[in-house]
Amino acid sequence: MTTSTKIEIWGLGLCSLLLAAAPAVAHHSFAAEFDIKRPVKLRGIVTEMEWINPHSWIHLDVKDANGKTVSWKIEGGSPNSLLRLGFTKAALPKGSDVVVEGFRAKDGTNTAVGQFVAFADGRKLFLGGSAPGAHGEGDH
Amino acid sequence: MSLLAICESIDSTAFSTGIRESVWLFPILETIHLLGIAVSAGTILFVDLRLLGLCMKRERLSDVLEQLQPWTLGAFLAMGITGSLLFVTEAVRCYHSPFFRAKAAMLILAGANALLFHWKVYPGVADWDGMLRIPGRARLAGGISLTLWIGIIAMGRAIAYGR
Repeated sequence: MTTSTKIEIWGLGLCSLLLAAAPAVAHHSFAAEFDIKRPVKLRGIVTEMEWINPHSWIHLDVKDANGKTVSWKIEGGSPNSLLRLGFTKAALPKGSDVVVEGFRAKDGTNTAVGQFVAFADGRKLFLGGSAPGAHGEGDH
Repeated sequence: MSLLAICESIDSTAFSTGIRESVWLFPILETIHLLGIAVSAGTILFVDLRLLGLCMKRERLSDVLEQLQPWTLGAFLAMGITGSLLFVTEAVRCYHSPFFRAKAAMLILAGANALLFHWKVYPGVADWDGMLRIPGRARLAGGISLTLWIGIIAMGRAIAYGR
């Protein structure tokens, strides 16, 4: 076997390793990061709206069953997709009392991907992220 | 000043925030970055395959390489500029990402491999330009480049998906 043939074989081996390793990382698609079997409905007070790429984040203070305040992070679509769904940067000011429906993260943290956010006055905005129904399609 | 501190100060600039919160600029940068990868890695791929004697076998190496090179370099420039701007929007996250670190290391290696090839191997091209089976050093450069670019693309993708 010539040196260059050996190197080519090593190269191919390395490529296969890299390709095999790629799907093992925390995937950004809905199914790998969030759990369709664990829908969540959270009523809370907005503490921050991160209007950022590639995903926006709504930070919520939610009272749990024992009356303790728990912080949640809700993933939404990019600023571009939010804007197309009727959001503006000022749509969720600090202190807003909202209900968010979505699906919990598989990693067990207080993180979820949001389908929509509903305001006290009955308005509802879809969150445009990776959650099913987040673009206003389906039953919601 | 540590590298992390530099990344933190990059993230806190108005420039970084402006791109991070933009409605159109960010997706446009992503699009140009991907087009840059398509054209630069795509043209590099064909040069590497020619070096390995696997495609464009009827063409002289110098014909393949020199006609594609302006496209490779132009697209690489576009990819580098847009990539830097995307980095600026999340420097701290990139700092902590093992995928970003692997990608940066492989980019440096790919650059060094290309420079070595152009300085040490390619000047002798006249002797084997028309041959299919070219010197081992030239084939080696092609194989290394091909491997590194597959790695760079795999890592680049993983940066977006990893936590």
